[in-house]
Amino acid sequence: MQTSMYNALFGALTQEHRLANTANNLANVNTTGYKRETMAFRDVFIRFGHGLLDPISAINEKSLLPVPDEMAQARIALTNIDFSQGSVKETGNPLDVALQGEGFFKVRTLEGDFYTRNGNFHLTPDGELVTSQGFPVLVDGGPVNLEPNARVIIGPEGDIQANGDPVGNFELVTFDDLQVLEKLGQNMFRLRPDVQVAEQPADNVTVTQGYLEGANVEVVGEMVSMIEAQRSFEAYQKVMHTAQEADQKLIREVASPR
Amino acid sequence: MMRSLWTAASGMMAMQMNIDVTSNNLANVSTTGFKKSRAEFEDLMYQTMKIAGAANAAGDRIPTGLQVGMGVRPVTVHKEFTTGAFQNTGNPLDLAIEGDGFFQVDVNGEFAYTRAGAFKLDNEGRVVTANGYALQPEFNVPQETQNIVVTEQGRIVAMDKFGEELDGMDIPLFTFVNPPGLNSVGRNLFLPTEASGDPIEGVPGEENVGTIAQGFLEGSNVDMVEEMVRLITGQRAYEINSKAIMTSDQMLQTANQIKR
Repeated sequence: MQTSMYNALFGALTQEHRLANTANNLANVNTTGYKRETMAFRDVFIRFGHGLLDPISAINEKSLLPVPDEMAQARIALTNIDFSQGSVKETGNPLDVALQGEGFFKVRTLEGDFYTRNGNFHLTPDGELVTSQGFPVLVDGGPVNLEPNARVIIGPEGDIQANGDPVGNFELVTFDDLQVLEKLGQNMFRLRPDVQVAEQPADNVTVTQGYLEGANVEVVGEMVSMIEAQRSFEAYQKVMHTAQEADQKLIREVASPR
Repeated sequence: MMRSLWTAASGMMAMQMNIDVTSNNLANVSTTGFKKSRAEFEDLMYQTMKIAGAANAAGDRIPTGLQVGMGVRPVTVHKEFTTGAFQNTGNPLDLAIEGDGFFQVDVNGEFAYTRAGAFKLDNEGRVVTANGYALQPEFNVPQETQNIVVTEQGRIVAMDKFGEELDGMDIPLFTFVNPPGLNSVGRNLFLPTEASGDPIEGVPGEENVGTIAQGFLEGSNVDMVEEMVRLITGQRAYEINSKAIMTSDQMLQTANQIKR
């Protein structure tokens, strides 16, 4: 009985995490540059206890117990970030930049350089090009200052011109395997602390001025996942309830005085 | 369970703000010199959970790259200073700026900046906005003026009925390094902040400051179609986040039924 109770408990907890993940994707459905997350599940195999029992206990040559086998329990293993392209929407603002293809802007924060797909940039009073949070975006390896009232033109390669004079190129980078990145909120990604990989220049990326990239959340898929999580949760609740009833019955009938 | 409840609630609050900003844009669709706002969002922090899984039969340990996000928050509501459509009014004191500049007006002894150039004359002949704030530097139109001419380079001239110049002045225009950093105080006025930088005085027609078009007014730069689309997406996002709250609630109810 205990096994089914714990199986159901872990199953239910798994569904709870799944819902938290779905809720986060849905909450960010209008967040610029947001990349949805998927959860991967993994079976954890646990041997049936009766593998230890006498394997020849049988009636009429039929085994009394099922074949010693392994039984799967679902556990969440990891979250994957889905880096597929979000739809781009026009804003007309010259400092809004969308990336199409695989690549990231580099942003310099106090804790180090992070990556983002959110190209909603602003100018500080000193003319420095920064993100909404005020972190400078890197152009040719460092922060960049633009002249006041300059007409900014950004080309498809990420080259910036102010009043017709070249200023530099957005530092656009990518990685062999994008799953080395983790999220830290504020639309930013960073390398996982335990990995050492070199960033590479992003070649297959087009920079579009006057557009922003929306979230790549698919509402329908998330809704389905939400229904699935809810119904599985209910099913696990039924399993727990049944296990509980069986326990009660056992206690009542075995322990009842005759 | 409670996590998804709060995550979805943050989504609803953010979308509420999205609709608020959009409503304000739509309310000001006919406001002279109005600049539309846009709300921007960012994801909240992530909780990195390490689910310690037992080693499986093969002795593998479960990987621990597991992050769950906590929702969304508005990060900025910023004004977009694209130019609105020009309307020809024919009124000599209606001035539109073709460029980035702002007029400077005096609001109770403090300088404020506006792009709404629907100027009037007050009882002393001063050039003022519809709210009575005087254009800076002040220009008084003499009594016997018949005609007022404003050139593209911002020279305002008062003429009598013989076409003789009675008085004239150069209207300066002011620009900011970061116009979205200006503080909107209503009444079509903007005040400089630490974020916008100090006003930079310029001469109309030079360095993208803009030229002045007499007899025109700049309408709002609100694009109805864009705002409608934002209303629809905002409302739908609000709805699906409420669905996530309902689902969390029903799952809590389910959990409550485990023990009967």
